[in-house]
Amino acid sequence: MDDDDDFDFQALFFEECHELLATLQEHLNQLNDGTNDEETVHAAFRAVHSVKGGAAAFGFDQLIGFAHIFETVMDLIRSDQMEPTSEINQILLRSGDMMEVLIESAQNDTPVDEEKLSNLQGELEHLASGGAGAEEVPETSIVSAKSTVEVFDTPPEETTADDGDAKPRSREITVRFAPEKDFFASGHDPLRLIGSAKALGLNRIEVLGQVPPLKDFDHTACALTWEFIFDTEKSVEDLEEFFEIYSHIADIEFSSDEQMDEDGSPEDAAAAPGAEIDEIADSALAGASDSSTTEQKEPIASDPKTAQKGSPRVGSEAAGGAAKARSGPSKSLRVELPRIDRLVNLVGEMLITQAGIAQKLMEIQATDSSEDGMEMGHNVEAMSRQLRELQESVMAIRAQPVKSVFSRMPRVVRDLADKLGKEARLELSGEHTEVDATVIEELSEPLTHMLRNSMDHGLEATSEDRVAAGKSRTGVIKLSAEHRGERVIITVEDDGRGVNRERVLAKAIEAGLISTEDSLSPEEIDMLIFHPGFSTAAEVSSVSGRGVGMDVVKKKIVSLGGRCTLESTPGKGTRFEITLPLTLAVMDGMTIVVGDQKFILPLSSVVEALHIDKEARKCLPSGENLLERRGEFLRLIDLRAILSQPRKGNEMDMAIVVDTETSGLVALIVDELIGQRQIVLKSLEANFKRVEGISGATILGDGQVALILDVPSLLSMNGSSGSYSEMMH
Amino acid sequence: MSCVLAVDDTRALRVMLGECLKKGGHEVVLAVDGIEALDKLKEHRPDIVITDLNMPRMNGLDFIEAARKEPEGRSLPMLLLTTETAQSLKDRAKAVKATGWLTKPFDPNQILSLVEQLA
Repeated sequence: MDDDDDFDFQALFFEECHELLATLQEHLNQLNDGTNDEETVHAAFRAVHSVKGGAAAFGFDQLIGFAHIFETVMDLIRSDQMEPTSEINQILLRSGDMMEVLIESAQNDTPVDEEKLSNLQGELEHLASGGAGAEEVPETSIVSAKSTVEVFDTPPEETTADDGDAKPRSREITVRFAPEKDFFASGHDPLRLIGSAKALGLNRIEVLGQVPPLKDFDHTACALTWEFIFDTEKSVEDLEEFFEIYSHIADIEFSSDEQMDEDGSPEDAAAAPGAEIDEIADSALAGASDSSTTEQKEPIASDPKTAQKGSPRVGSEAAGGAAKARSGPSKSLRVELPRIDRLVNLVGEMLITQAGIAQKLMEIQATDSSEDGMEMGHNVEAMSRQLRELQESVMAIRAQPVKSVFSRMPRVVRDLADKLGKEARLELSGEHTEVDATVIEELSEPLTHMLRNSMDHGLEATSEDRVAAGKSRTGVIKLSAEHRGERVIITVEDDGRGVNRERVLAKAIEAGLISTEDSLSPEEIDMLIFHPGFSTAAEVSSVSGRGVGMDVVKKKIVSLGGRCTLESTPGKGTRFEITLPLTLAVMDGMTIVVGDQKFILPLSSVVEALHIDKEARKCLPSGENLLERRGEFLRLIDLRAILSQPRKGNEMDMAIVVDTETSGLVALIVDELIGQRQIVLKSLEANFKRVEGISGATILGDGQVALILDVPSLLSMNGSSGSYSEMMH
Repeated sequence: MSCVLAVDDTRALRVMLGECLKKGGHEVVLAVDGIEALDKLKEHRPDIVITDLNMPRMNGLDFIEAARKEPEGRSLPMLLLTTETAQSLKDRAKAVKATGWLTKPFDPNQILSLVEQLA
């Protein structure tokens, strides 16, 4: 065995540990929520047990010790010897968190809060000793670091082992071996034993005991006792080790004769045993006389009997079976994410190629209206449908429930509650909502920030404040996810005091973000907290309020193609909503022309396209344009102005009505509408730099690059020359 | 070389045990719990079984007990490899006719020599 293989196994172990942790935390949370059924407790117990087993295999002592006592407590609950009260559940939850810390420590050598660990361990030990099953605790002692073959009954020591003598000398050791009746039934085979014992210097075998008369003979029971006489340089301890595996099923006595046994010649094995044993005994003796003079540690695999027994197994059936076994029992397959990413990218490239073919075909059809062209058109259309299906199937592979992120959050809240001295509970819902794996990975950080914000700023400073406001002592934060169309909505909602608008306003003025003359709507004031460099915390706390929190959240969400909004009711609470695309790779877009450039609008936000009637267009004294649409006035925005594109002088403008989600419907003036198509998103940030108002780029069928417009952020920079024009020059 | 059925619900340990046995030149069949192990036992007729104790669906003890009733498992060496050390469990292991009891962490050489010795 090479030790350097350990590394890979460890990686595998840790990967599994994280899954086990998620399982553990999920079930501990369920337990905490009052689900005290057998399956929940069992699942949590098994997760702890599996971590312990793995940790034992790799010798992570701290983790083993903690997992052990944790497991003991779980076992008490499992066996109904302990009732999981809410107090106990809290300890279990914190123990689950500690397991995570310890696993991380084992994996990355990160420091562990020893005091916290020993306190928690103490609490668990207290639970374990207080439970009704306390007498079991000492029995399940912590696994020793050294591996052992278990000795069921300590063999009687009738030996005079000579360890002090450094020079190995051949000695005669007699092993009296009296198997119990069940020896055969427990899967033991004396012939195998004898074959293996040859390598240790087995010299001869005495058979004791009497085979019962045939009428009483039970072929399944072992009636004999053997005396194995070794002529060996091995110590008694070595032989004890060899025989340990039989110790529960056989009475074994060792006796050593220190005198050199000159009389090594084989004696006749007793006649009592059957012919088969006789034969083996003979071969054992023959082998022993060979090996006593030559190499004793010869690998046993070279034993012709072993080889012979093994070889018929090398059939294709067995080999095929082993290969089958590797795929595991469940109908799932673990694939590394980069491989799927590659597939996604390839599908994206195919979409671009397909768009190229479709475009070329249209050009050809414009001049040539032959049957061939028609047929090819059908094929291209079919291909486009299949491609879309392919793309959806590929994306479905990457879809994962948000649970993997959500399940980490209760811990965040617990930790913060400890730190801030607040009482809070996190309620999760919609954990099974599926989102692209790449989105999920990125969600953890902003969600943590948001929860911090809710804990620190959202909830009242103390439970007393809450009670005074007529609320329960424990603050409730709800984290939920749901699908809405092509997007995922994630909300973080607290039942705290709401945004303190006066303070936000005062802060914003102080920070120079707005001037005293600005009159802002309550919603606009609320949105200020997403502004870079904004923090309402009177003092910078260690939890949040370094003035980076919500700004970072917004940046992250926007970079994922999402948006965040908040709704706040003073005294009632605050609700943050994150809207995210289901995937970051492909989207449906509407191709438009503004000036002499093509742009893409996300189709999900397009409501309708219409021609602008002169009469429907109104101009406010402020210079703002409005468009009347079926009795309703919409803001009318000229994209040419925002995007610094030349006017073509064509007054028959087209407008596209877009839902901005944040500020309702707006109408955008465009020059031309080309049509809708699937586009492959390419990050502008990765290839160029982040540009306000642009969420990415794509490659069109003709190879041109088109920018994808991010309408809400375009609107917020409406009129200003923006960074887009900088980029164009 | 022997055909070894290795049963453990912890993937890392299962794979590690499997690799260890393969390096020792053995054919390896893996199973994640007792139920699967019973199927694999009948399908592959291994020479020896090494099984974990605590597993979902069917634990190692129940598996051994069930396997002893099958023609393929009647006289098969079946070792338990576990972190458990409670005497009550060991007594039960003996009662269901487990061939032996090994505690984790395992020593690959020890496992290999036991396979040679028993299978």
